[in-house]
Formats: sequence, C-alpha cells, structure tokens
Amino acid sequence: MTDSSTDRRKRLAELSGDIDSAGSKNDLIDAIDSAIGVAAPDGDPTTLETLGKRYKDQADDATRLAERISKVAKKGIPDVWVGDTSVLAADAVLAAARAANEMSEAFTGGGKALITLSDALEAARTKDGQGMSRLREARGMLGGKDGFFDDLHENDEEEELRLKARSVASVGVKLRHEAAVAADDAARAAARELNKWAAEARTGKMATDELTAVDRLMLADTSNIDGDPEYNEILSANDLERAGQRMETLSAGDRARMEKLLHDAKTPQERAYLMKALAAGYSVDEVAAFGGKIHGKDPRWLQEHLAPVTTSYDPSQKGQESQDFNGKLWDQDGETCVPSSTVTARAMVDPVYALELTGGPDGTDDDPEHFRKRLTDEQLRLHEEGDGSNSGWPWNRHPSGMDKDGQEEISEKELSPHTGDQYDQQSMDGPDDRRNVLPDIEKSVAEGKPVPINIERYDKDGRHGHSMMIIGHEGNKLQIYNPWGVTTWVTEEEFIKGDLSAAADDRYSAAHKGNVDTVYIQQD
Amino acid sequence: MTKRTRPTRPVLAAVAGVLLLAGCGTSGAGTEYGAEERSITVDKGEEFTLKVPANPALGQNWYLAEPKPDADVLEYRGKREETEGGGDLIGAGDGTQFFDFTALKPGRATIRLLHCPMAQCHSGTESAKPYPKASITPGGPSESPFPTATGTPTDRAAFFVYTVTVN
Repeated sequence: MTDSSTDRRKRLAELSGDIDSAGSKNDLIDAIDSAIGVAAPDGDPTTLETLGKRYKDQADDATRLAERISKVAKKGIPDVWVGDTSVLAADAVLAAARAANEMSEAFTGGGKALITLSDALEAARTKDGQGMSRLREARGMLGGKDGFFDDLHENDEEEELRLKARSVASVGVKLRHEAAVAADDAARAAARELNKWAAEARTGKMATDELTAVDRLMLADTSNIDGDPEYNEILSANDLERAGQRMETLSAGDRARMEKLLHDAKTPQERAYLMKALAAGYSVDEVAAFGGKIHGKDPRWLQEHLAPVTTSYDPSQKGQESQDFNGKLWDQDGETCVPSSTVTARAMVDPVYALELTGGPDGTDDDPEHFRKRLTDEQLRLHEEGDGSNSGWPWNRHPSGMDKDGQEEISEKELSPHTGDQYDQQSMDGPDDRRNVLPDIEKSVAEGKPVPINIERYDKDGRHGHSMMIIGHEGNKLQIYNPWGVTTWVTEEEFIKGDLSAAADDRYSAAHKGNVDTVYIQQD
Repeated sequence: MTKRTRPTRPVLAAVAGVLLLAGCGTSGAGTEYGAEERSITVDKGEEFTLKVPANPALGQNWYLAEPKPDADVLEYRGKREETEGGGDLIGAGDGTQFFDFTALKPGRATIRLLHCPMAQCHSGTESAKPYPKASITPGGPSESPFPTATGTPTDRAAFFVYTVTVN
C-alpha cells in the first residue's frame, strides 16, 4: 500500500527521533536505512503548473463572458417570462452574470490552488533531495554493519565516527521531515480549496433536462433575503444534485405536477424551497402539501420559518450570532445538546420539518411559546430515540446527556434520509487527526451537509462533553452552530488545536484542556 | 436489539433543584436563598448565601453586577461553584453557584446578579448588551440591554435584583 503524505510525515518524525537517540552503529544504520526507504513527496509539479495555468486561462474567458452578460443586464430587458417555471428574463440574465462571475472565481481559485501546490511541491522535493543526500552521506560514512561481537564494544574512534555520522543523518532526516510536512500541508490546502470551488460551481450540480437551463440557473442562484446571499443560499450543492436526480426519476404525472408547482410559485425563494423539499426526499404529494402552506408567502416569511440559521456575520467577524424564531432561540432545553443540535441540523436540510417546528402542523401557528414547546418536544423525542441518559427523582426525571452511539444513531435516522449519506464516527486523537479530517469536513459542509462534532474539557469534577455542528466553510474559517442558540466563525487553526472556546465559552479553552474529540463524517 | 445500559447519575442535581424550587435552605455558611426569592430579610451579623443554578452544559454563569451592594450594610465574601462531570456522556453535567454575604448593620441593600445562560455574557461589568440578532444589520442598532428578570431563570440573559433588609 502506498503511504499517504501524512503517513510519511509521521514516519519521518519518528525516524528523526530514532536517529538522534541511536546509541550504537547498528541502530544508527537501521534508522538511516529506514529513513532512506521513505518515499519522496508524490506529484508532478510541472503537470500541476500546466493545469493551473489552463484554469487561469478559462477564468479569463469566464470573466469576459461575465462582463458581456453584465452589459446586457444593464441595457434593460423587457418583462419577458422565460423557462418552464416562468422566471423574469431580467432576473435570469442577472443570475447568469453572477454564475459567470462565480465560474471565473472558481477557475481563478482552482488555478491558484494548483500553482501554489506546484510551487510548494517543487520546493519540498528539492529539500527532500538535499535531505536524502545527507542521509546517504551519513550511511556511506558508517560502512557495513558490525557483527555480533563488534557491536558489543565501541572504541573512541568508532564512537567519534558514529556521532559525526549521526549528526549528518540528523540534519538529513530533519530536512526530509520538513519537506514531508510542507508537501502534506500544501496537498491538504489544495484539496480544501478545490473542494470548495467544486461545490461553489453550483449551477452544474442539477443534472436534469427536465428543467430548462434558465430554471436550473435561477434555482442555484436563489438566496434568502437577509444576510449576504453567498452565505444564505437556499439550495446547497447537495440539494441541487439530489433535486435534479429526483426530477429525473419522477413519473410523467408527478413531474408535470412538480413543474406546475414551480410555475405557480410567487417568488424565486418559494420555488427554491419547493425544490429543497423534493431534494429532502419527500414525495410530490408531500411537496404539494408543503407548497400549499408556503404559497404566496413573502421571502422574509419564508426565511424566518424555513431557515433556522441566517448568517449575517462575515467570516472575518468574531463573536457569536444568535439564531431565533420570533425571539425564541433555536437552543437546547436542558442537557440535550446532542439531540438539539441534530434537530436544528435537520431543520436546515429539511424545510418541511422546519415549518412543522416554526409554524406547527398547518404552518400558521407563529406563537413563539408554541414554537419553543414544539422544539423542546422534538429534542426530547430524539433524546429518547438515541436512548439518552436521564437523571433526577422519578417525579423530576430530566435528560442528562447521550453517548456517542446514540448520537450516531439519531444522525443516521434524522439526517441521513435527507442528505443521502451515512455517518461514520471518528475519534480525534490530536491535531494530526483533526488536520487529516478537515478536507472531508469542508467537502461535506460545502455541499450543504452539516457535520456533527463533540468537544470536551476537564476540570476537578472530571470530563464535560458538548455537541455542536459544523455548518459552513469560507476561506480558512469554519462556521459552527452551538445548540446554545448561536453560530460562530472559527479558524481552521482553532479547530486543529481543538480550542473551540470562541464558539462555546472560556471553559472549553486550552487552559481547561478544551479539545475536539469526535467528528461524525458523512460517507456516501 | 440489545439495549445499551447507562450509568445512573447521582440525584444530587435533582435534590439541588428541589431545594431551589422550595426557596431557601440552610448550609454551614448560613441560610441559602434560591433565584426565585428576591426579597430577603436577615439579622445583623448573619451569614447568608444566594444559591443559583449554573449548569456548565448550558453555558450558564452568574456574576455579581454593578453597582455592588452597599458595603456598609453587606459584606460580599465571594463566589463558589459546585459542578458535576458528565463522564463519557455528551452534554451531561450540572452545577450550582453560591454568592456568600454577611449582614454588617441594620439597613437595606440591593444585590444585582447577572444571569448569563448559553454563554450570552461573560462578566458582571460588561455593558450588558447581547450580540445582535441575525436579522439586525451589523453595525446598526443593537438590542436593548439585558432586562431585569421578574420570574425564574430562562435561556435569555437577565439581571436578578435582590433586596436585602438587615434587622
């Protein structure tokens, strides 16, 4: 099996220790031979650079296209309705301009990521070669291995030679380790960037010819009305893909009904939420019933009722942003952080479920106290579903946490049917594990699939655990939903260090042995 | 299917809750008053404690807020905390915080505690403005300062104002 870049970096770190502590000639020879045996960083910088430049050329084409479309948009377009679902031509042209801009940004970003990787890889390979030369030089100084009796005694001259060779080998292995770290970091950074740009090239995700290109473009372009549109898109990349697949497999009758629902929708947001319901796995009958409850509602009503999280904070902003419905926080009632974060995550991917919570069975009950009761009831239902623990006297029993198996179980039951993925529990044993899982996390959230995580801390009373969800990614920031009713942008570095106190409170800081100990990652 | 067995947690939390609901109790440090009893009468020289629910699993914290109680009438002896770990369970745990006072001389004093649930605030001296709602434009007008609570602690930050009469 080929070692990964992370395996190589770990192995060279171990061998660096072995070389520095080698107390005999034979031990030193073994360690040097092992270090020489570790493969050089993979990848061809020239191919990567060529590909990166090609992406940049494509970006230039897309930029010119975006400029031409913008000129058309500015000239004024008559109120003509286009597409199967009757969208305004002017809106479609604006959406096309935005899509061309996004395409240009994606090609630019992807090209830049590849060229950066190419440069980093070339530098790493050069450094690796220098390290390899030192190791070979040291190996040459030592000659053959000692026999059993020779190995029992080392005179002053032999010791001097061993120490000199060890010093040369130590420099060599450290150079190789530094090269492995640089190559690993660069590959990881490139993977994250490319995942992000691939997910943001959203329009092409909806692979169905049952809707016109204009309809698909508009659906991908539609955002909620509050907050930056980029962080408040209604249909995630995964929604677009699943909705397209569903449209392809509907019967002719159902497809016609779905198209009529979309055609009759009063706003692009209403249309997007109908498609989101289809993507979440509901039948056309169920989508029609849902459509009846939201039909004609304005975009703000739709956002308040169907989007548990609105992102107003830019990723560069620090601090926690509260998330509420009519003044009642989307927060946990009692010691139910696991079911509570799962309820909110499901409401983010399933608008039918979100409306049942905010508006009740008929979608019209806006009373905040009623919302709070429905939210609590649902948190308790999931607490039971995950076989959560309870404490207190018989007349005062209340939830007191859930174990990891229960957490996986409710993620599978509540989220998987609506995102199409299974969840795999991964224990995090330190910064390396968290660094390793980061590309998978970022791919998931870029596609619109929330990633459950657990944090922990220790004090004189032992361990305290808390559950949250990673729900967004932008640049080097991750957006965290805490079932205390808030969202926060944290840096990837904070996640890798395991210190997510910014998304919780100071009690989860490094000073209190704060740690991210589990990630539930989706498996297709 | 095999049902998982779970550890039964101590009932300390429930007992503490019952005591809080029942109003006051006594401890080695004097009479304890729960969050719901905010009109208190004590004798000169008496030690007493304000005992409030502070579950770290809910990001809950309490702070002695400004203005501090009249130092001629009450001596503030400090804040204590008792918490429970959750073991392998996620989200389990409980806690209580205690604010200890001694009545120095006859008179009236006001104690203001700031209740910060869900990590909504982090000290008793901050300007007492919660972070803005998602629907409020950053940099625009923010929400009003924390209100003064009239009922029991909720999931919103609020001041709990105690009036203490020393006989």
